[in-house]
Amino acid sequence: MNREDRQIRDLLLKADTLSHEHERQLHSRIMRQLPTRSLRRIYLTLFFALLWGGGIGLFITYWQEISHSLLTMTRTLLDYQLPSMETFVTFALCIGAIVFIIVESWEAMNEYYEYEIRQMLENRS
Amino acid sequence: MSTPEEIFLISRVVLLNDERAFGRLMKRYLRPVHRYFLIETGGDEALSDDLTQETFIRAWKGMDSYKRLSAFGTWLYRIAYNTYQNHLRGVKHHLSLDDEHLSPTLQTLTAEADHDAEQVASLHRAIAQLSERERTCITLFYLEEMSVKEIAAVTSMSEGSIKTALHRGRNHLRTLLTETI
Repeated sequence: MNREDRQIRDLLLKADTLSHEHERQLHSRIMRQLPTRSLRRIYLTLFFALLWGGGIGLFITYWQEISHSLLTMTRTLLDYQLPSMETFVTFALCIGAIVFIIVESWEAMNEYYEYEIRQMLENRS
Repeated sequence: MSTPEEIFLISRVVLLNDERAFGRLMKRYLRPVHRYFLIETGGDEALSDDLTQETFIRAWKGMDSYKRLSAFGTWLYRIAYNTYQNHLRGVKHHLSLDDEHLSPTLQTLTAEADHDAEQVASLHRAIAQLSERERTCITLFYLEEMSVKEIAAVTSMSEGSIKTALHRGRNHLRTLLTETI
């Protein structure tokens, strides 16, 4: 833009009479008018909720086994003894399964977003 | 080209219909889009508010159709441009140079006799004298700093026509502004 172009631009900018308060009100007004969420979002939320719910559900289902094996293990360790192999394996398997489901679902969710963002960037370039 | 942050926000809107992400996008474009309508409508704030609202709601509904072939801003301005064209077709709204047809806002501004307000009113009067095509091209080129190619993407006009409209509009506006301001 040369000097004359900038002068025209500066002059045209004077036509912008929107105050910050009016801008804020208009923003809120439009946000209130937006139609409700689409089915796609509901499906995705349900999908990830099921994955997370599965992990938490497993934890609740096997809570007794986990707490029992944890207590047994703690007690045994406090007695300066090694826990039995059965206790240790039960505990490790339960905790492992739950952590695996939660971490994997979290990773899957992030990878899904990253993939979409990468696709957008690639298409853009 | 959209910035990485814009792309991130767009992804969230497209994938999750994230209203907060859309709100952040809207914050960036609300003022420019409103300004575009203010100039197109001769300073009618109420009408500009309505058209801005319609534009963003249409953008929200149509985010799935945003094919990433153009920058988000260009896509949004295309919606704004079409919204205004639909409005013109619907109500046969034509800008008048007579004071009695000026928007209430402008009449108020003029009545205040404030120097700045008077200048804005004169500016709108001058802009209103441009042809619709010239006004759109001048607004997008000077205020929104779009290239001729981007204006072509928004308006579907040929680049040659845009250059001609810009040249004529610029000369026309220069003369009018010298006379009025």
